[in-house]
Amino acid sequence: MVEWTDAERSAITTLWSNIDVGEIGPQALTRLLIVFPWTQRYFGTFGDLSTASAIAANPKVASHGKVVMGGLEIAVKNLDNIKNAYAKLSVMHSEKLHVDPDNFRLLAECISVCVAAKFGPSVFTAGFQEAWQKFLAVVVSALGRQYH
Amino acid sequence: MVKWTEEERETIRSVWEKVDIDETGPQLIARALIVYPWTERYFGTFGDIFTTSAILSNAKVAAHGKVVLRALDRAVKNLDNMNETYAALSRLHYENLNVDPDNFRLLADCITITIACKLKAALDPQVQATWQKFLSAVVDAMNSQYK
Repeated sequence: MVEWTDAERSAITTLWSNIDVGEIGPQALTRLLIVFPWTQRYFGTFGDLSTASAIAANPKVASHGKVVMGGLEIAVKNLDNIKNAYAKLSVMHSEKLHVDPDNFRLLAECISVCVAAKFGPSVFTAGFQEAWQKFLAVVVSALGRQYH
Repeated sequence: MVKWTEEERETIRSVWEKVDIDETGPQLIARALIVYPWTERYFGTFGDIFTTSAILSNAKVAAHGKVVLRALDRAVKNLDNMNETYAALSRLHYENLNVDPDNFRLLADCITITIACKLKAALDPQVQATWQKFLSAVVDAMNSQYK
């Protein structure tokens, strides 16, 4: 089971309380689709994803970004039980959505870039970055857990 | 060999010219050591690098970050020739320093995060895509002499 120091818990909850899911979610998913274009294969029903500006303006991308980012709330509220909290989501991504789990890591990277860009170096210090990336790594691992 | 469009070359140059090596360099290795603590194994001669505050105040860590960024400058100036430009550095990291090449990718991630902190919205998705393409070419060049 993951062990969190008090400093890490505090960093994660501080960052989370200042994150607007409606702001960061769309940005993170937009970045994923632009920076790692093969991820577009999972969003065939989203309409026009053919250019960066189409992706950035696509309302389905924006609303799905919010859904995904909102899903992180489960992890923040269950820091000591993330694996079980995400069991169903993991099964869904494996059995229904057939998402290659390496993409979870890529989305986590995009989320971190958005968070860094939003908070800047005096808030997103090395210590906060460590806690945040460890948190996302645990989420990524939990989402990949039920794949067989 | 990697192909670069004119637009990508311009983007890489314009991101790079916003990077102040004296400001960004110190953060870089510090972040890698803090976020990915196993990387501490490569810096045995740097003194105390075992707590966040020790790392952040360590002069050798700060200096080495600048060394790394100065090397990155060579990649920016040799976009069409990265493998040759980095051949000696790659051999050094493989034969002398014995660095696991997966760490190059992690350091590249720290570079992107540090730059995102500084550039904020200027590192928009397209710019990020180009910048990460550049860094993955650098990582490949660093891997090139590994057998």
